[in-house]
Amino acid sequence: MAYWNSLVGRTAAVAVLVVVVAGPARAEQFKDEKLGYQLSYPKGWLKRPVAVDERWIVGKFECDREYESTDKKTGMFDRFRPWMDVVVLPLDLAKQKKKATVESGPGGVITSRSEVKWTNLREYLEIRLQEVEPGGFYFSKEEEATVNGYKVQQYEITVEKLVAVPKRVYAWAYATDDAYFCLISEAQIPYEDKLKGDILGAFRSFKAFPRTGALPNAATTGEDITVLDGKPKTGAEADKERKDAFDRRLRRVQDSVSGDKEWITRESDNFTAISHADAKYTKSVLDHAEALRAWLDEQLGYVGRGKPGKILIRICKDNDEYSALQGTGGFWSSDRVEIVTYRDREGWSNNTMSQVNSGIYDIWLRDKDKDFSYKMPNWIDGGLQSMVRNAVSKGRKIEFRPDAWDRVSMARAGAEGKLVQAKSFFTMTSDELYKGEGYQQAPYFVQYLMLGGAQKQAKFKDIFRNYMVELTLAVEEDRRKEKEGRAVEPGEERKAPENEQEEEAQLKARQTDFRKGEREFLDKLVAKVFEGWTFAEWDKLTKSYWAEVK
Amino acid sequence: MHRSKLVRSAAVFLIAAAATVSVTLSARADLIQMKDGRTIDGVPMKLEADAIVLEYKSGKVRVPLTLVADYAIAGAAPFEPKTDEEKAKRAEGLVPYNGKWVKIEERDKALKAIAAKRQAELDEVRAHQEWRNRYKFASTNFTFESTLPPRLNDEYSALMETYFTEFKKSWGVKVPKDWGKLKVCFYNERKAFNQISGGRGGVLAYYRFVPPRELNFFYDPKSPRGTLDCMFHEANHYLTDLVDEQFQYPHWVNEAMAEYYGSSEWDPKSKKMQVGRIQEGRLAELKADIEAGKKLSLSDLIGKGDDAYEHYYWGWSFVHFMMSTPAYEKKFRDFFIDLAKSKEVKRDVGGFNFTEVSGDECLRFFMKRFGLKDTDVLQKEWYDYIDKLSLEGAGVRGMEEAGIAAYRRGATKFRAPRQLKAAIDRGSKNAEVYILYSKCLRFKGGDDNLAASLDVLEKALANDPLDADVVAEKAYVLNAMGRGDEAKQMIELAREMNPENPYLEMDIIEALSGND
Repeated sequence: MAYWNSLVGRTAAVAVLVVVVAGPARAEQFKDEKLGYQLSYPKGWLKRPVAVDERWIVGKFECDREYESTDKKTGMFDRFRPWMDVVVLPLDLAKQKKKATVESGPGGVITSRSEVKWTNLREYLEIRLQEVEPGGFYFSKEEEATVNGYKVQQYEITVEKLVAVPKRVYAWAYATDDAYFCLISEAQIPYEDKLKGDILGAFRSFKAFPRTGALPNAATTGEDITVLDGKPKTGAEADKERKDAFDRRLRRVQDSVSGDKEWITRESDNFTAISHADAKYTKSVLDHAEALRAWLDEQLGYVGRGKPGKILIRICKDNDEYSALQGTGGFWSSDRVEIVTYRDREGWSNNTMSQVNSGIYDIWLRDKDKDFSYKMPNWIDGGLQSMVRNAVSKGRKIEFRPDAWDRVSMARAGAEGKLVQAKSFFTMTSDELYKGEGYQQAPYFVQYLMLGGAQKQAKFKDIFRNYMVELTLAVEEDRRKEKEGRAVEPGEERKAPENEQEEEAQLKARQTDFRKGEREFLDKLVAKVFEGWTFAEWDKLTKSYWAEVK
Repeated sequence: MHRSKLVRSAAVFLIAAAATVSVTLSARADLIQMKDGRTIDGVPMKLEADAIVLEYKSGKVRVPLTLVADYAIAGAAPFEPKTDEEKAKRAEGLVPYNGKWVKIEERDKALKAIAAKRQAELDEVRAHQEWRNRYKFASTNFTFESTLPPRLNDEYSALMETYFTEFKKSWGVKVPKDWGKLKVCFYNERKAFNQISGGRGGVLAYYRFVPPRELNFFYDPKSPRGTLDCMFHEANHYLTDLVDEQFQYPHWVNEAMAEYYGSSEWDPKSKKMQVGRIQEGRLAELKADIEAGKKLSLSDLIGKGDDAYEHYYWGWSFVHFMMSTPAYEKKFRDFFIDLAKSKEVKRDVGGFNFTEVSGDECLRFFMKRFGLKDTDVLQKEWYDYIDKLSLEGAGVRGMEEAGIAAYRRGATKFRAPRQLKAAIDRGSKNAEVYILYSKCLRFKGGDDNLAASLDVLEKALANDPLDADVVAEKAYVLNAMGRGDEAKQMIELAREMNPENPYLEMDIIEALSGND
């Protein structure tokens, strides 16, 4: 396979010279001083942000309109917005690929670096197109050319199997002194004639010049896998680690938008917003975030011992910018400190704020006690999440407004006699929760207990808090057991099997261990929190709850 | 698996000669073609009397010539005369070639011509591995597009035709005129299948049942039987469509029938297609479910109307039971055809304007055709039938599947190692079986078990010295034995052999970092 992988720079004179042609019709100019390249992109297209975690895409552009095509045979249609990515592949990658090293870092941290997945544009496309695009594709054209004095490898890729409408991907790799600058774009085949000229015009306009910044991915060998030593941290160490994580993230996000004056930074006590929306909207988001944070501190502050850290909120200009950002690499991880949202202009503001609400809740709870969120019975975890998602603020006050669909479902459940009994919430396993009506109704029960009718009755008003406190104690107990090397989960204490029959019996038992363990755990909590409760008291609780939600 | 493409060329042949010969290649890399279709290049090679030694940077790998279909290695091995006659001939300027004594220049000229022809053939096959240059050809009932070499194309296209003819005869179907020939796309490796066909994740093959209809699957040199299973399974969906082009069969019987026919085998002696053999992999899944206390009821299988994965193995076993039981075979065949065609069946219009039947209606019609008031008796017969099917009695493949399934279920102390060892003792050449058995021994720990674990991998490497997964597994065993330097070298070798896998499992990470 003749992959083009030779080290070449600009050529002064060549046998075949492609004359420099003008960029796309009515073009916009773009120049990146840090990376040292410029090009013209089609007029009306937009420059999009790139996620800070994105390693390879350094520039992204999108058409300002969508195109729609329909397959007459199947009736399937596809909506499509033309885009163009700029990807930088250092020439050094070919050498780096062989180095998969393992190192010890400070504090006993083991870091292993796996190989890079690609060293040239063809390899990049073979892998990335499968990761980000549906459909089967092949390289329908592969040519070397000279453009503006650069050696350029040119590809056309046809995407035609298992897609509603076939597409063509265009990809050129310009060989500069130390890197391939790769331009990638695509068009649905029915619109190819309309778009190809502009796309290839943009490709032809590329020029490189000495950069002011560093070449991305030149020094590293690919994805880092970090294995932590798992030693428990002191409060001060955990706080420092959390603050460092926030500061690192903030720097990276600020760096990614530096030079673009449309992005503004605003601070509040517990949040930093980096926003492409107007200052007024940004302030409203921060005010709401602070109100929700205050509510969490007040209502659930007794959970865990951790100290919630600052959260970064990135506000995109609109849904298109948000979607483009999502398409260039993930911004979610298990230790995230950032929430991304956008200024809604299409009437989906409930949706955008629910993302902010969920993000604040998840990060806050994780900061307080990561283990607690895993141990919570699903009806509380799911119930709280659903409830918090619907939070709206009026000044500094938080209210919860259930979704219209949910309200209709609850009304219907009430009319059909399908409302779940109060005691059932406390005793149902996760299987039972998801099979029945419990999952949908849990947020209402949680809200009833925390903020609703339960708060007006002496017997009921502390139920939720007491239950959560007992849960916290159970989490602490599990941590103690782990530290002492004692079994935590059911079945862990079993001795090793001595023959095949015992092995089979233990494997069968393991199938039910989780469910048995979950049942025992829930029953233990109920026994502690509701000690001495009679059937009449449970009935009263149920009726009180039903009266509120019907 | 090597980065190089998997190729088996039709026209390449071994030079059979009494003396050692080598084919001199000018400005060409060494390469070998394995009998299983792989081509290895990009590594310096040396020819020995009975093997080719691949000289990787991290170590040498000796490949017995018994595993090699052909090779082209740079650098002539000089003829070393041993007997007095040979010395005399050598003194006259003669060397042995093709059973005669010839001048050196004559031999070298012939070898160069052979090398050039071989290289051209290999280049041609390689060129066709690029999808835009794929082979395109047709048979009586199919058109093919393929990146496999001609010999395999001929083999598989002939099998498809035979399979089609047999099914057509057995079920009385025919191809609608406006459909034309079915397009079959055949890929030389899984990587190409994933990329070009769009079938990703766990998809092994697929049949597109709306125009343009086509079948897509890939050749797996590690499992030619698996390749056939997929081909016959997917082709069966096409053949089932021919019963009634407007009707979509319920998922359970569609997949169950495809699995039943997926195990078909062509018997060259009797020149007949044998159908209805045991699908060992599916039987293994079935047995695992039963051992876990999970049994799919007959009413759920036929009447639930969903797309459950269980239809592939529980469904297969039911169709197998029906088609293998003389009292039921004809009834079931009639039920299958009439589900699509009979006016007694209530059908609805579903997706893509196909007609389909609900789960309830399917069950009702089945029970009517079989004269049942409930499913209890038939269900018991079916379960009894399954109980009589044994993996351990099903040959090497059965034992392989049983052992692999047991390992995946977690029975790594007793059942999995027993069954995996039994598969090896019965002649299994499946590298995964050896690797899993080695893991079972390694997990037990102790010097004896680790030594046995290593021994298993050496046997696997004797079957295939070029399996990078086995080499990596050897590294893990050496690491467990405290032989860290050798472990590092083995991992590096595995990575050279398969650059697409960094083989960074947790235990090797810790070992390579120097932390204990």
